Amino acid sequence: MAKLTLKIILFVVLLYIPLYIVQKIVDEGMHKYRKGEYAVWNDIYSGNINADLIILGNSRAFVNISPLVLDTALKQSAYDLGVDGGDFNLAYTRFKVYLSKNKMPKTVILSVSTSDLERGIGIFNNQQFMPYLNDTIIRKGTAGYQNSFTLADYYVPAMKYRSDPISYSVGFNLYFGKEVPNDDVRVRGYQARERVWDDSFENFKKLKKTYTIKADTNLVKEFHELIKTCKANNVKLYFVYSPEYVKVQPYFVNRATIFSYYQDAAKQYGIPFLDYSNDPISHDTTYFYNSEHLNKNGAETFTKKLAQDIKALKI
Amino acid sequence: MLFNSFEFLLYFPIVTALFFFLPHRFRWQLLLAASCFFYMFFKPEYILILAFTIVVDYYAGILIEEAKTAKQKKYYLLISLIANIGVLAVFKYYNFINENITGVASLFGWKNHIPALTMLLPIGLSFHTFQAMSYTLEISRGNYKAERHFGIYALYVMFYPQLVAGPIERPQNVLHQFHEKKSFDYSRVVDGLRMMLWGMFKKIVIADNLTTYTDGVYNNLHVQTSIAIVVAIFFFAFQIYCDFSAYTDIARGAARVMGYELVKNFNYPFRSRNVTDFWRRWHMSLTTWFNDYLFTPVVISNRGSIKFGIVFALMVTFSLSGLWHGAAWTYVGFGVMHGFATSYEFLTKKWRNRLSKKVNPFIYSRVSQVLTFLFVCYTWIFFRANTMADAFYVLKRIPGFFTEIANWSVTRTKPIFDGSLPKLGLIYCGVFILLLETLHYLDNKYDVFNKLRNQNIVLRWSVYYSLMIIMIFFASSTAHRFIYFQF
Repeated sequence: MAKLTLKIILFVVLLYIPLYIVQKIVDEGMHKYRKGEYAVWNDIYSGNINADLIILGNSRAFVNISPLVLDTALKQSAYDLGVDGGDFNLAYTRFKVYLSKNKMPKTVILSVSTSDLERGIGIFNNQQFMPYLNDTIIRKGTAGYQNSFTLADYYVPAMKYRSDPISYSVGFNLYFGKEVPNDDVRVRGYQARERVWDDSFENFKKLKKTYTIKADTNLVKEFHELIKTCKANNVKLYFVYSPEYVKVQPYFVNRATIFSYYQDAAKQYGIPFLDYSNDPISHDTTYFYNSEHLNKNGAETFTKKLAQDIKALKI
Repeated sequence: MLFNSFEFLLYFPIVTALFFFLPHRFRWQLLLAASCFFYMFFKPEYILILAFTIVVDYYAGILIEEAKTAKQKKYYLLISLIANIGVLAVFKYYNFINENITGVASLFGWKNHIPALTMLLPIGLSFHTFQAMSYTLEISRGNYKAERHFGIYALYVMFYPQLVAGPIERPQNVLHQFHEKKSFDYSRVVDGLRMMLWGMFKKIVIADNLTTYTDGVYNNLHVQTSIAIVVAIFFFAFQIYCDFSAYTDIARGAARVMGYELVKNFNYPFRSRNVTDFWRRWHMSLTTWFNDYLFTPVVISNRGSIKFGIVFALMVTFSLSGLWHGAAWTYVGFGVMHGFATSYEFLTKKWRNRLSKKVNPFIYSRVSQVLTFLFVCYTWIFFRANTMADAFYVLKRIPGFFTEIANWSVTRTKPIFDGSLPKLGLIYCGVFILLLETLHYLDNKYDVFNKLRNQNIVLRWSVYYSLMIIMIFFASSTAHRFIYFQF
């Protein structure tokens, strides 16, 4: 039995060491990646953002709100932490990671949406978390989804990158100083999308479906936790419902109920709730490329308006 | 607990090490406790269902053996069978029966007020109830003596490697092994580990990667091209084989490490030359179970008319075998089709034998293999489809495959798999199927798996490393449950 145990240990060690080196190379390479969400995570983990103003939320945050405009208008350094396809839990996870590596911001703009408080079934683009799976905040934040990471992803080296040749290729190239193409650029987390109104809303209408959002109790709890953290640290917090094409709104049948979560919290904690869902921008498709997302012109026009409104509040 | 989980990677060495460290008299206790833990990992309260059938069958076994009259024997056997089939009926078939009552009632404008059960199906229920039934049936036939040691009997039903997806064991094969003292045998342990490694490879590399495509297609049939649907039909054949045979390999390997031999469940089923042959090679423990306890008794009871008796027995056996798999008409359909095919083969046996002598044996054999494979793939459409309507929709779309191929210049401009399934993974799947079939061919012809044992360490370790590396780099990003867990 001793002979077999020794052989197994030797086998595992000989397997573990090269795989560990491979994982280390890919992780290190991915830490230099500037594409999409990776760029934001890498900025966060570098600990060099330390912005005065932080924008939180999902894709409606990083597409609809420009930190560059806020920066100029409010004279505060701004960064957009919006996470693509994320529910509130993932947005909050990103904020927690941010706080663990950067200083507390003075202002937080929380971009809210109808579906934020519903727990997502799966993590959209879960590869973005792979280089940072050593972080317990990431592990906790990504647990409980259909495609959550497993113990094998945490402890078996290189296992997390399985069936993902792109990560291997990018990781190795960047580690050894080679350049990789990047078609998904973010500037301080923000992505200006120069697009025009597409046919996605027309296709959506054809489905003739309505949606009832089920607010998840844990996500609601996290929502209140975020507010309390901001309050405890004297961070100015704003809830912002960025423009949303008005004709899509009736498809979310309990929209009013979801809004009441935000309105009640705003009232309870004395937080300004800036709702642009019925703003003139929300009626004009020239500002959008789909029902939820503004194009570059729309985002910049809206952010200027938002900056003025924040200024006007004089908080 | 899933065999393909990280938890099992810790569980297995701990249980095995403890097994060898403990003296023989404590080993059944360890294995029973470990098996309970293994089962309770899914849904702890369901162990009570197992406990119920174990207690009933244990006492029924003793009472059957001690019964003074045939009538008494039958009576105790009936109690055991009612308890086991009753558990199956309640937990597996209740909702199916209820839904059908609702359907029939609605035809007459009536309402069915019987509520549906909302609980999940206990994992592996059909497997352990069938194994438990084989125990009392064998005792009642006088083929086996009742087990007096309650713990050993409980272990017979609950032995963790084969608890949730077989192979379905018989008391003659397993029970005596639990009484025997097992010592550490280096080559046997390595043999078992090798078998587990091959099983893991089949599951996490081949079956799970194929699942991404078959699930993607079968769950969104209406947006797929016919090519995608046909590819998914063939992929499912390899998926289900790799999934189920992987479970058996891991189960047999884990048991062998500790010195227990479980029955073989697969024998290269895709090399079958007819459907009857297929069932001798596929899920062999279930086939022999149905053969011994259903088919043969039905044939005997109809011995007055042999031809009719056999065809009737085949139809009954395969229909029930279909229903054994799942409580849905799709499974019944699957079983009925196999019943027809085997009946046809039985009735045309002489004619086919004459034909085989007129045709070149190589060609006859290959054509038979291809036709059998196509037939099995066809019936698996019903097995995999989410509903009967989906199964017929798949059948309707098959001719479109040829149209799309004929118009390739148009087809190639559109995404084949609705655009959501990665092309690269598709290539992996093709390569893995090719690898599997090559290995099967080599093993069938040159016995490569057995010969690997006697090779030098460099070659052996190179093979193990290659398998491990492929598993780590190409395992499916989602760990899927074993298909047969749901049965």
